[in-house]
Amino acid sequence: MEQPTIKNTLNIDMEIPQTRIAKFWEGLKQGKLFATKCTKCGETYFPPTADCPRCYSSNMNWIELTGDAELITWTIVHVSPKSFSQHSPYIIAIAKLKEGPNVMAWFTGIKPEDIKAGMKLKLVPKYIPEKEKLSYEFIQSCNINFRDGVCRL
Amino acid sequence: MGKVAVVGIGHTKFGKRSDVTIRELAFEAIKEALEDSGLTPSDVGFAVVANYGGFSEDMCPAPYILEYAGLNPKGAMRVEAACASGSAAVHAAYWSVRSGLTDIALAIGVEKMFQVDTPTAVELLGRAGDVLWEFIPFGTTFPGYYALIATDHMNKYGTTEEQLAMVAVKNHKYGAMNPLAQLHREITVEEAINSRVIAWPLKLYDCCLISDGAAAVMLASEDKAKKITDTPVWIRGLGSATDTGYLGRRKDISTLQATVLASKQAYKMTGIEPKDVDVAEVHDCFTIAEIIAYEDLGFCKKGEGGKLIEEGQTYIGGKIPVNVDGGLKSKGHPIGASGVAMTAEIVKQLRGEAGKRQVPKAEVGLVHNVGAAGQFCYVTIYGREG
Repeated sequence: MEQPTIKNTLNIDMEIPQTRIAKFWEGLKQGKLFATKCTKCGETYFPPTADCPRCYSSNMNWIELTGDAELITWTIVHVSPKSFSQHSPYIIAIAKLKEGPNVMAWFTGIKPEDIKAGMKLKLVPKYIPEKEKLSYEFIQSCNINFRDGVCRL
Repeated sequence: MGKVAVVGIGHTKFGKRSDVTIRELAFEAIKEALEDSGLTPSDVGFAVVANYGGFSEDMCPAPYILEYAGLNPKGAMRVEAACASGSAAVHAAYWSVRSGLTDIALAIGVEKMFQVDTPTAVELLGRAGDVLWEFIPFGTTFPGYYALIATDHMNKYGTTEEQLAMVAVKNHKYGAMNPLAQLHREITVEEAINSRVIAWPLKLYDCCLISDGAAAVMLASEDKAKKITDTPVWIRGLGSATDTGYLGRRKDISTLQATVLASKQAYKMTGIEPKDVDVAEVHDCFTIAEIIAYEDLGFCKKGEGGKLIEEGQTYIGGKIPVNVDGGLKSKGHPIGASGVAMTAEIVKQLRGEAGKRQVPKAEVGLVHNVGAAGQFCYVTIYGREG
């Protein structure tokens, strides 16, 4: 027997300020990956932060990353959240950047059976103008064909 | 100011509860905790409600739950620490008694997750991760987070998919013996390994359940506890710690540093060592999480968690029985309720009321509750002796 219920819907649209790390998003559009580096303690942050949690300084420099990275761990997501239902399965990886930080991003253009811990990756900016989508992703470092502001993967 | 004891417990059946609202579900657990302690709502000095929220209608559930259970006008708060919200409520209730501000406090945990469809539940849970840098750009789910941890653990220590499956087999075995559990079905390693992939290398049987459920525990000061009951279960040690939200900022992905730190605090406060724990409830939101918990809580050396389950040491009769109520895996994981429900189970074990699942001569019990992928951890140690 069907239970009696009240049907109720809530849709939430929000805008999340990115003013203080605007340069990061501008960089992605230009095909560049920027991290912040604290001028006081020298710690590098990617994803970038406008404030340093280590020394509480807000004087950060922007540095351009090489994108060179080494794979630590990965997963293949088959059951995705509602907002990603068009994308699954997708590979999520964490890799260590040459500049220090570990980064989480999608790993694209690779067959799951070819993935090995320690393999060399490249973190590359991703810009899809028609969708106004700005992001970054990992590819195998030998696959790189990128630098003019458009992702050719 | 002296010690604090658990003097009453309530624990609803976990599962799909489409017959009740969140207020009605919480009421069931509160009623049981009141009856178990022999107290009335007017005896309660302070109440803490654990609820992750988003799955159910109340954005601000505490006052409505209190009103529905006749607990007004007592002071209250709602706490949230993702999947560790329940333990956060127990800790906050403890502080309220330990500080002397009240003699009797009630910790209530409740979650109703089945009011939304599964993709929406996955979405709401995923948002306990780093929304800005992991969820919005990459759709990182909670099975995904723990899969990243599992892959790293497998690469570093040789932990196998079979060992992960063995955790599920154990927890299903005990879930089948627990009338309050959501699932009452034993499974085999083969069945677990061949179940569908959720986030590789984790399969369906490596993942906890979507659940509705509530639990409540009544805490009392030493003087009151001795008057209320002959079987108080004492809170002997507590510890809590946090870790980065952005998983990439952790030095070692195969360990939950918050567990290491929180358990060290709790062990230090009690003078108890891991080998002295008779029964443990650990946070098995995923099978890999239970294996890592064995290691991070000191039940075995780092990297040997897989071996510990393979040897059967976490069954009743083994070195350290773990999750003998079915765990989050088979009993269910109604987010806000889980930490309170784990507490209720340990109290049952230490009172000797766990029936077929009773760990013989259980004197010391431990509850380990993790929020998100180790962003929060609470460890609480209970004893029959104060």
